[in-house]
Amino acid sequence: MFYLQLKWFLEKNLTFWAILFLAAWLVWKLLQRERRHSMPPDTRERENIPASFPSDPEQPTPQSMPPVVLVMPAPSPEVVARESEQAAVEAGMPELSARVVVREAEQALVEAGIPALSAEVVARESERAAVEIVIPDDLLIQLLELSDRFVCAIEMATFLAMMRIGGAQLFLSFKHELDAGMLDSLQKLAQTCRDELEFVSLLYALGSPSEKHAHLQAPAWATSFLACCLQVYNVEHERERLLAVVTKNKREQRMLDFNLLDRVRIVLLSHLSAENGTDEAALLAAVSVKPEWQQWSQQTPHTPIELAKIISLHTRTRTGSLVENIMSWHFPMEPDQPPATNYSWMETMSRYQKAVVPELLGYGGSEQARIDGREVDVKALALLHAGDLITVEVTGVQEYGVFVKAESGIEGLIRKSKIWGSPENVSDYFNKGDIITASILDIDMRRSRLELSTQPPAYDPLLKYSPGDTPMGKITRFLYYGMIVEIELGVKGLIHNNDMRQPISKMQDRYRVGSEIEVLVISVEMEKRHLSLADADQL
Amino acid sequence: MYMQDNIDRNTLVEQFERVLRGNHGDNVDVSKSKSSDISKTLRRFVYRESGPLPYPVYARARYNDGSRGKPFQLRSLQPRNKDYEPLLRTLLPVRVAMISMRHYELDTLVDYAWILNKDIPPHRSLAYVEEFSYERTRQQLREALDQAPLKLHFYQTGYQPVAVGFYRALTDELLARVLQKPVLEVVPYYYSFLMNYYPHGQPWN
Repeated sequence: MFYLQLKWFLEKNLTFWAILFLAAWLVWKLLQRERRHSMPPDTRERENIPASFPSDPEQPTPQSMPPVVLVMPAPSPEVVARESEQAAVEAGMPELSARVVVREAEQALVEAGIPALSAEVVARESERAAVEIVIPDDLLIQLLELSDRFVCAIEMATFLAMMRIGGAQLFLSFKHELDAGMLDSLQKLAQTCRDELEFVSLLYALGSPSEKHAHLQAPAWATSFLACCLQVYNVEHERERLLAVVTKNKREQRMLDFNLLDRVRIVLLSHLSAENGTDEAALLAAVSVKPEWQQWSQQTPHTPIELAKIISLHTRTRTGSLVENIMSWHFPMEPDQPPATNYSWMETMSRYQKAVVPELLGYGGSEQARIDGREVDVKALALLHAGDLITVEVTGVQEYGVFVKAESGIEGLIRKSKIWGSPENVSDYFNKGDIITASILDIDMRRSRLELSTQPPAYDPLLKYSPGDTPMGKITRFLYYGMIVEIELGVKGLIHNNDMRQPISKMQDRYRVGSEIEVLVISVEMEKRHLSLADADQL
Repeated sequence: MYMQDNIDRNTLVEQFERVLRGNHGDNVDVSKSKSSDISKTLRRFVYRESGPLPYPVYARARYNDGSRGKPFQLRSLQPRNKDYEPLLRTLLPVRVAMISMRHYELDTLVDYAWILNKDIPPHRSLAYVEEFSYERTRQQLREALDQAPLKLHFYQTGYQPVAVGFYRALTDELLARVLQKPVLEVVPYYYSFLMNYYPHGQPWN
């Protein structure tokens, strides 16, 4: 009887039991997830459980993600071989022999001569450090917050993102894939850098898919190579995730600023020197620090304001008073030049461009290359940088701007909006064959074209005019409240309805756009660069 | 544009003058004013022109969302004696951005971000943000001044409640130290759109 009652109860409440079973299954899953998160990181690694920082639904699958483990050179060859093989597999080159990779990576490091990564340093560090070093989430967050406090979060996030995929060693271990020219370029690039921080930052800037660094980008094949080797797209993703930690109201992105790398070094040193943990040592090994920074870093703890004062003292490059010992050892590539005292970001990058980019592009000794079907002087292009003044010849005039060509054959465009004086009609002021001086706004390395602007004249033409003058001008536009008259390039004025004897509709019947009229200058507003005019004929 | 700027600034000045006359309540509508105008006007009305007022006068900032900040004491600070200036002049200034990760052109100009972008409370009233800025500023100023005198070059950007909170805290901190030697000076720097650089304003010390 009881059995029958139970059977009837179970049949009637099938839905209830199904829900109960589902709930039990969910609870079990949650408990299992809690257990995974409470494991130490090395256990997670062994069990192949991905790190959970920061959670992102768009995160690629573990197979396509770069390793989150910073692979340091190992004391034992077997461990090195295993890890390098793993790195090669994850980089999409499983056919490589691990031993070849290790040998070549070590050789490349020695040849590159990166101080923080030379074989002796690596060996010494490796003895002390564990083989696998994970950058823990809390350390990442602390470093990002601290660098945000000292306004270098973008540089720090880039560095950490690059380190999370393997740092300089990973990039230099692709020797077997490189031809001699490319390898030389890469090693030369490493030699120009002070430390791994600078090297990986520069690699990021060169290979970044960001439009902000477009002027540094190599042609498509080189970019794709860099993208393959450096996994820049994964780095970009990782970097964005790291930056999300410190930005809630982010408005725009900016380029990496190499002037701020010293700040990153100080932040890393000040934060990590107190801990002396394994991962901290690995990060510190990637940056070169000045002896005096080490001295004060030992005097812990520092308040944030004290640290700001130290940063101010050591990184103030704009006032000119404290820079002599900072910049003098930054650029070992051109020893003949006296140490400069004030480098801007663009100057810094242009030096790298001069030294490295032409060879990195793979053109070797040849100065000519075909880009978009045109012969381009690549080295001349690499020697230019934004802000330069160059002499160009006008090769074409269009409504939207002026096409020009430099002596080296590099072509460029001066858009109408970038012509000083905002002329209504470009062809009034420019003719084919004119020689003009223009300022470089941007360099499109992909298409080897320049974006230029014209320069204001040495003497402002507006100063020539004063109330009472009656110059000739050309009507450029009719408005409901008056008409605009352009007297010369950079000198425009308005004849207001109030200053006309006839309404604007009558004036439109009398004149056309382009008609020349004599105008009377009523007043000159220098701040707004504006003239108030009247039609002299009607006075 | 110039004319509109002047109208905005004059409107703000008129509101403060009405508060001082006592016939306008204590509300000052800052919702339509630029951050630089707010701090310039505050500087003008926080410092005494002559002797102390017979009774304390307070103004409260009213924001776009209708919320009102806490009272800000007017005509409370006295300009420092000129003899003290060399002491402050010898200090190495710490260049500070008001909020991090908002105006990237500032990154190379400053050494420090006073308020972190991520710390600004989201989805709260602007008066709450002002109070947050006030608390954070008081805390940081106290920590810094416990160590040594401080000179800040404050690069101000355009989030009104954070700026008002900062200057309210600065006023309270300076008021608490009014009988002591000057150990704190803040020089505001405002972005000038037309000149495309940061000219500095009158120092608070």
